[in-house]
Amino acid sequence: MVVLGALLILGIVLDRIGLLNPAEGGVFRVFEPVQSAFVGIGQGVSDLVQTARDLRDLRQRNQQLVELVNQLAVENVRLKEVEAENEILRRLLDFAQSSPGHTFKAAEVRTRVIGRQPDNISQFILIAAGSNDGIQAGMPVVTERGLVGRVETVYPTLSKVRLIIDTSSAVSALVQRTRATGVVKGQPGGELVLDYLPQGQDVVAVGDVVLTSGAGGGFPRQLVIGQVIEIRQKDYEMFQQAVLRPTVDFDRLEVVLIITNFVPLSLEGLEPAPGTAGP
Amino acid sequence: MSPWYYLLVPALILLGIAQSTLVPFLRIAGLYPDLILILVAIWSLLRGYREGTIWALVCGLVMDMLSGLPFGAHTLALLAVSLLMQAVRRQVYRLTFGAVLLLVALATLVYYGAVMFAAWAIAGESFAGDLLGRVILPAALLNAAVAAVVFWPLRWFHQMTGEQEMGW
Repeated sequence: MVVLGALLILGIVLDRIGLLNPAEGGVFRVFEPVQSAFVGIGQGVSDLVQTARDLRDLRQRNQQLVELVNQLAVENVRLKEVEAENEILRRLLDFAQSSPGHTFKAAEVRTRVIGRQPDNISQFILIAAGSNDGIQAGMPVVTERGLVGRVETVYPTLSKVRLIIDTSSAVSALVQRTRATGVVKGQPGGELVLDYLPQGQDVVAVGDVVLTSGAGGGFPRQLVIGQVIEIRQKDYEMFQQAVLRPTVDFDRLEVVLIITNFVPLSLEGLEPAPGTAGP
Repeated sequence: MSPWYYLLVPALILLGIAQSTLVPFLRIAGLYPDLILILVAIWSLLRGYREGTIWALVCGLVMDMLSGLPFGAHTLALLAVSLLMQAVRRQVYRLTFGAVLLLVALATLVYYGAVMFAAWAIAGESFAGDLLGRVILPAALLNAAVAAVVFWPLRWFHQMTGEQEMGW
């Protein structure tokens, strides 16, 4: 027991001074096969239960999908027109940043999710890629459906990712339709809220899509975060809020992409310009 | 402490890994049971100081390795739970099944409070929102319900491997 207690204290001290990572990396090498096996078992059982549930919903979903396909066919025609127009405008403006898909195609690491946060109050995942794969802290993590989170800690073969639904997470965002900006914050229970939206009638509406704005330099622009499902507006408050349904299903994350060519801005070490320092 | 206990350490490590790999698949309404917390709380009630503390330390260290929170937060929180259960064990002669479930619910509140305090004290980690109403209290109910299932095999295991020191 004394040994274990000493291990705990030593662990805390080494973690604080940054020397625990190599030791944890070694332990992870041993844990990883067990974790992968456990996740495989869990996934299998979960899939079985999910299949039974899915059957029940299939008929209703099929009807919804037929309607959706009809809508999308119309929208597709319109988007092709918009795309052609956009291409011309982009060339004219020498627009440096094209769509995120093109930007990141040559700089992504695809990896498996091999673990989750062992408690209910914070939201992390463990992924099977680390510094050996070129992963660095701060890199954004996405799926084909949208933004997942950001790499927090990196080990040689593993990384810990803080999800955007974590209560400590904050992502600069904008409403695609109105370009109104705010901050997407995680809420207890996995809810996402777009906060600090300016008051006004047509700032945000149910159904609006919310994207990363790139402000602050923490995430690239134009990554999809979610869709507005509820608006919380009170006249006496300075800002209004929008509740989002994330496009990513965080309960069923299996494979994620890490965008490795995005370097997040760090404000640490910056000094104020001469004459602008506070009292 | 009997020699079998040392064989249990690998099992505890596997349980610690299971908490972050298998248990999240048991999600109900966005929450999953804190299996390790339930085991440590009940085992501390059943076996007292020494074994409860060792379970808390071994499982806590594994959880800290796999967690995104600062290293030590889960170990310290599990130790707090174990100490609370040991204090209760010293004060009462006989515990009913219902009392155990209530104690597991109470242990959940202590556990999450201690995790948040330790994470803040070690690395300044902050938590926002109505965690008590939306996560911790529902988790306490869920853990009490799971404890109702877990208690009986643990009690059997306790009777198979140790001495009956407290009435049930």
